[in-house]
Parts: sequence; structure tokens; C-alpha cells
Amino acid sequence: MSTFDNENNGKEFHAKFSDIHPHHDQVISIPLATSIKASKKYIPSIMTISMSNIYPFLIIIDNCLNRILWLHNTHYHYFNYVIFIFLSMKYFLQETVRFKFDDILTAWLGLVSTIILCTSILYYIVALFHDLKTADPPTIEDIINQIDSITNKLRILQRESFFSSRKSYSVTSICKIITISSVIQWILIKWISITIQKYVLICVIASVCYHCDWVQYTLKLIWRITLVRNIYHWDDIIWKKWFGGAPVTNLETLIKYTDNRQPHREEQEPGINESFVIKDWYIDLDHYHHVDQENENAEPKILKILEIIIWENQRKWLHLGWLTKLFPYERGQFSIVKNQEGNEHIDCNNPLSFEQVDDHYKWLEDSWQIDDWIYSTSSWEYVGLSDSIECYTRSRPWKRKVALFPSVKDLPLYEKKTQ
Amino acid sequence: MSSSSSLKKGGVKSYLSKQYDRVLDSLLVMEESLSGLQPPSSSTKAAGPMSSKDIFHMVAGSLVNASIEKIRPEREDLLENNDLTLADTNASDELIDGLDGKTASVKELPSETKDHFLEIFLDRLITRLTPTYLPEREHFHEIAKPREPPVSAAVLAGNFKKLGGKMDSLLEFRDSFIRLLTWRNPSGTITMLILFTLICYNPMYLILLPLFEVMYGTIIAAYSFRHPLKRDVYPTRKKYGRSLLYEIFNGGPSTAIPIPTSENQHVASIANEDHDAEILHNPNEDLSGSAKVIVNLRDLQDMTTGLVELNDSITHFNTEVTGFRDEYRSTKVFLKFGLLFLTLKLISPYINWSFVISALAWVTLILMHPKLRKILENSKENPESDVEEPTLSSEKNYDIVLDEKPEIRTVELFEIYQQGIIPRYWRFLKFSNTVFDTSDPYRKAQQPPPGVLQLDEVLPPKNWEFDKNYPWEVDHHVASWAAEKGLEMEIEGEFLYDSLFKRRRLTRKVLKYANPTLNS
Repeated sequence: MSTFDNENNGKEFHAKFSDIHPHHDQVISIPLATSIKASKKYIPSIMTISMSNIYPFLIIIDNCLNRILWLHNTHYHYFNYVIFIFLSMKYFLQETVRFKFDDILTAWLGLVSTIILCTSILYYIVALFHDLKTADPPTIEDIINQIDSITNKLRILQRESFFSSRKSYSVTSICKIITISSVIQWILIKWISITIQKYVLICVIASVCYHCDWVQYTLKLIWRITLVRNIYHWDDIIWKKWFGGAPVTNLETLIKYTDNRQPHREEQEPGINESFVIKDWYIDLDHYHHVDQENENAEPKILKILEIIIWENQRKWLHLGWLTKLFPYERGQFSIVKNQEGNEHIDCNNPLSFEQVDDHYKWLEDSWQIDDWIYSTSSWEYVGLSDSIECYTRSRPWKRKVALFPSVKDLPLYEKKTQ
Repeated sequence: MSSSSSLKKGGVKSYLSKQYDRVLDSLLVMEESLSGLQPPSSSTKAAGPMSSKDIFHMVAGSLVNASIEKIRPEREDLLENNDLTLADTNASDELIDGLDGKTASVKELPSETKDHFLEIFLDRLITRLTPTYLPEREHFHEIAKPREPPVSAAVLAGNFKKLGGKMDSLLEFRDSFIRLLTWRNPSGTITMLILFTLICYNPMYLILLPLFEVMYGTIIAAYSFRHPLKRDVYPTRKKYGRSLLYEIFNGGPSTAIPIPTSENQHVASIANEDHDAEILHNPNEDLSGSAKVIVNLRDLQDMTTGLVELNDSITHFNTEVTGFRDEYRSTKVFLKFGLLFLTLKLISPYINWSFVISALAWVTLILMHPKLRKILENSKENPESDVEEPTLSSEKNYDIVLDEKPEIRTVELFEIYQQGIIPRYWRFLKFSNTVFDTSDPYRKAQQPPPGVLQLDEVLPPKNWEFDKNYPWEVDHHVASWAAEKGLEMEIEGEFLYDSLFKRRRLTRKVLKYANPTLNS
């Protein structure tokens, strides 16, 4: 007991990380090894044999992935290989070798690099098979671990890919990517007049270096630039500008959008206070249209009561705090939900600008009800009700109920009167 | 009532303590004037080493001085805590200040209050032992500082302490450089050579590469530490296969004790999920504090030793090879360099320098590879024993002629005679450098002039030698040398007379082949 007491005496007590495998990834995946262990199933012998047969190839694939991800070795090592690849590519892409010292030198270096690359690959494979022959045969756990390692690396590749920050791989987005990249290629070759050889060279080197951690860090730092984000989302901006519709400026459109979004709630029983307002309004309307007082109780049936929700949006800026400055491709300072799923927003005017009412509508409440902020990530994914370092955006709803006559003509009262 | 009495008490207390300080100050001033000003500026110091008595005086003085200064700041602290100072005590203080203005100047001296006694003592001692005006070094800014700060043991020790703690990067750089040169990091060496080649072909890389180094070596390193890429990689239990390049080029394991570097850290394996906790308890951190300082100081010492050795070899080169201590060798070196200069200048337009220099670098480093060097050394040893060393002396004497004419000058000496009791009797006094006329200071002081009694004892000027073919000669042109020296005296034969002394002038040729070497 006393030893336990001493251990924590005067020391801060920290929680420890859990040992269970799932990583920091958003995509939580259970490794194959764990799942097999958990299932405690018998693995058929033919399976074991085939697995041990593919083991060397798994190692080779794993090593290839290491090379793509620049893992398990120094930057020097990979840099040298990039240079070798560059030189041998240059040699193979060269059309003619002129009888000039530099050209001959380049050709010679290219040949040497090609030989070095080929022999080192061969040497690796030969050494690998030799090592496997001399070493103890792999256990089933080793093989499964290798498979897990490969899947994990493939997942890293996927996560770090250029378009991973886009929300979905929809057909339209793939089409967009293809269009844009073709245009860029066309511009490069036609207008900047880069030869195809050079273009291929650049592409190969870029793809070899892309998963180097330095490149990844550079991209992450470049991603911090506002302009880069705007360029990356240029299609969204254009989409929003041309097809997304103009921002909502009048109450009628506002009600239209809200109405479309809430098809199932069209008829609501008004509360006591609201019914007073409605009653008052009816009296006014009656007066205006010379409606009979007797039909008062029958009327609320065709009356729609909608709760209008306008979201006020803000983004957190370092050192500046929460500001209404938002990116042009995301929602504006005030927005309303456009679709039924509730993930598409359309810009909207300040709620205070909708005070003017028509004959058809009437605010059931004197003012907007403002709720608490709802915090979300940088890409507007809901987090919670309190601010944390995970939260970069927040929105809060401005709610107000409105009652509307769809149209004066639709009113049975009106019809009655005209009759 | 009670408050006013306590006020008064405090006032008296502070007044007394101030008085006590006055006494200390005056002691300081006295002490300074006694021992402090004597040795440094006086000419006696330059003439010879200090006597042990002087040193004792100074050490004792410094000891007293330091102890007084040690006491005083403590008193001041006490006084500052006592806010109660009365107006009349202030007035009296001002009066005292007015009386002896020196105290004020002394009071400014100890600005740093809480130093160790030993440090104060050492500082005092150093200031006493060194002359008051030290030569100044060049500064970037003209009015940055009026003077270099004085030598201070405290500052020196503090700087070393700070350096000792923070020299990791410098030492690590040195380590990695050695690793690169010895092929212990073969990929690194090849990368270095590739980069060197790039620089050779386009010197713009001299600017680009440091920029890149700052971007990725410093900024991205810091960024990756703060926001690591979330690449949890499964640890490989066994490594199969080998890299060809590594197998061929590896120059052997590192001789240094491996230290966890950032490169090792960023490949965070999934096995140690509590990566953050590991950063907090870095094993390298355990070597913190005094041990680390000591290790770094040892390395610093090694580096300074290396610097001294380098300096020695440079000095050796400057004196022995190029300094004409060995006239033959230096002449030959100069001619060789000249020939090389001319050839290089003439052929330079026809040479692809980028290629030559980069190829040279590749060849040198490949030859420096430990494996290859071993082979080369083995192959060299065998034939070397057969080849006889060419007889240097025979060759040396004929291809270069060293027959420079020596510098010739004349030295003079005055043979001085003193008049005896009888006017006709002259007694030989001395061979001297001075004419010993009436205006001579030694004569005025009624002392014999400096000189010797025997002609053999006269030595040539330093670095010169007498020409043995020309003995001392008496100068017969008395009138002319007397006129040259502005002497108006009687001339009789070869002598120049005045009332008590006569002298004649002896001359002799002296020769000098060369000045001594510059850096000897």
C-alpha cells in the first residue's frame, strides 16, 4: 500500500494511451491479425500454404510501398534514387545524342544509372529470396502482419492523395478533375511549349516525390494559404455563383425554401399565443376582405405555420477569434438550408432585413429567437455545443415563426365573398 | 505617537547604514589609489616581469576590495527595503556627497549586485593585472559600445556554461560531416557529391541550397515536430533483402554513440502508440544538466585543440615552406606555384571546369572510401620499399642558385679617452656608441658612457655580422664626421678634443644575408 502511495505522491497523474490497435485515422479499421485472433477460426491448410507462397511477393509489395512513401530510410537514400531515375529517364527520353561532351556525359550517366537501378532491384530480390531461404519459415502471424502493413500503407496513400480533402468521389467530381487536368496539360504543351519528354519527366519525378514527408509537409503548409483553397475550390465558387442561385433577399423566397424543405410539417396546430396573433390577423383580413366573423374557427386549416431558421455562420481565425469572414466557396455570413438532407446551404440576407411583411405572411413572434452556437470542423461537420481545438466553424440558428396564406385567392373565404 | 517614533527610528537606522557605506566607499577609494593605479600604466611593468611583492600587493588589494564590494550591495538591499528615509538625512547625505565627490563615482562601479565573492575577486584581480587601455577590435557599429567590456571571469565562465549547454547542433553538424566524409552514411555521401556537382554546374545552387536547408532542415523539422504526419506504420519484425548501394558503399558503422535523431523519431511505429509520452521522456534528456555540459565542454576542448593544431600547421607552412627559412625550398615552391598559375591561366578557357572539379570531388571521395583506401595502402606499401629515395642534397644544390648579395652597412664606435692629471696624459676610458660630448646625459650625470673595454667584446647589431675581411678602421676624416654630427671641437690628428675627453671614430663593415623569417 505504502509503495502505491509514494508513487503518486507529488506527481501529476496522467492518463495513458490505449494499447489497442485502432489508429488516429478517422477510418477505424480492425487489423486482420486482430480479427483472425478474435474469431479463433481454424485456417485451412491450403490457405496457409498459399499464404506462405505469396509471402515474398507481399514483402516486395511492402517494399515498393515503402519506396513510394519514402519510409524506413533516409532522405539521402531516396534522393539518390530520384536522381538515378531522373538520369535514366532522361537517357531513354533523349531522341538523339549529339557528338558533344555534355550530351555524351548525360548519356553515359543515364546508362550507368539505369544499370545501377536494375542491378539494385535484382540484387534486392535475389537477396530477399536468399534471406528467406536461410531464415526460419514465416509464421502465419508474420504473413498476416505483412498484409496488414500493406493495407495500412495503401490507406496512407489514399489519405494523402491530392483529392482526398474533397468530400466525395462522385462522377461529377471525377469529370471535373479530368477536365481540369486535360486543360492544364493542353496549356502546358501548347502554350508554354513543354516538350512531351520533359512533361513525362516532370510527372514521373513529381509522382515519385509526392509522398515524401517533406512534400507532404510542404503541401500542408501551402494548404494554409487562403488563395490556394479558393483555387482548389474554384469549381465550387463558380457553381455557387452561377447555379447555386442568388442569395435570398426577400421573405417570399425565404418562405419558399423553408416550405420546400419542410413538406411534412405544413399544417401545424398553433399554440395559444400564436392563435391570438392569428386571430388578430384574421380580424384584420376580415376587415379588409369583408369576411364574415362566423367562419373564423374553420379557417386555420389552410393556414401554414412555418418556423424559419436562418443560420448565422462564423469561422475561427488564429489570433483574431470568431469572425464572419468566410471563404467564398462555403456558406456566407447568413444562410438557410437548401435541401432536405440539410447539408447544402444557400446564402441569405441578414434576418433583421426581413421585417417587412406582406398581406400573405405574418410573423407570429415579435423578434428572432437566437439559439446557442453549434460548433463544427473546418468543413462544417458537426462537433458539439462547446468550442474546442477541433472546431473551426460555428453556426447558430435564428428562429422565428411565420404564418402564411399561400395566396389570397386560395382562401375559401375569398371565394365565398366573390361568389 | 508610536508611529512617529518608529519613523524616527527607521530614519536613524538608515542614516547610520548610509554612514557605514560612506566609510566603506572611502576605504575603497583609498585602497584604489594605493594599489590599483600603480602597476598597470607604469613603465616598469613593460620593462620586466612583476616582482612577487607587486603581485602579492595586488592580490591582497583585490581581496580587500572584493570583500568590501561583497558587503556593500547587501547593505544597499537592506536599505532599499527600508522605505523610511527622512528628508534631513537626505540633506545630510547630499552634504557628504558634496564634500567628497569621489564616492559617487565609486558607487557606480558594482552594477551587478549578487555575484559570488570569488568572481568579484577574480574580476578585480584581472583588472589590476591588465593594463587599463587594451587594444580595441573592429566593430560593425561605430558607436555601439564605447569600449570593449573588461575581462571578467564571471562573464567568461557564464559564456562557457551557456555554450556548453547549447552546442549540440554545432557538434552534431561536425559529426555528420565526418560521417559523410568517411562513408559511414553512404547515401548521404553520394547525395553530398550530387549536390556538389550541381553547385559546380550552376553556382546559383550556393544560394538555393542554404535556402532549402533553412526551409526543410529547420522550418519543416519544427513543423513536423508540432504536427507530425499521421503515418502509423506497422513495425517490421525482420528485414529481408539488402540494398545494393548500401552494401557496396557502406564505410563501416558510426564510431559515435548513437543518439536518437529527428529522423528516427518521425517514423513512429504503431508499436509505441504513446509516442508523445516518449518525447516527454527522451532518453537523451536524461543526459541533461551538468553531464551534458561536461560532455560538450570536452568536445569544445577537443575542437580548440584541433584549432591550435591547425594554426600550428598553418604557421609551419608559413615559416618553413613559404617563409624562406629554407631558401631553397621556398624559392622552388614559389616557382612551382608561378608555373601552375600560368599554365592554369593559359589552359583554363579550354577546360570544362564544372566537370573537372566535380569529377575531382567524386574521385577524391571514392579514393577516401575506407575499403578502397585499405586496398590502395596495401598495394602502395610493397613497391614503395623498392624505390630508393632520391638523394636530395645532390639535386638540391645545383638547380637553384642562392647567391644573393648581402646587405652591407657600416657601424661606428667611439674610442673615448679621459684626460689625466697631466694635460698631456690621456687614459683610455671605453669603446662606446656615444660621442660623450658635453651635452651627453651620462656625462652630465658624471657617469661613464655605456660601452666595453675590449674591442673584441663589441658585437655586431642584431641579425648582422662583421665582415671578417674588414677589421675596425680609424676614421681619419675627423672634420667631416664632426661636422655631420654637429660637433664643434678641436681636432688633433684623428682625435676630437674637448676640455676633459678626446675620442676617435672607428668604423667597420657589417653584413646581413636576410632578415629573420617573419613568423619565427
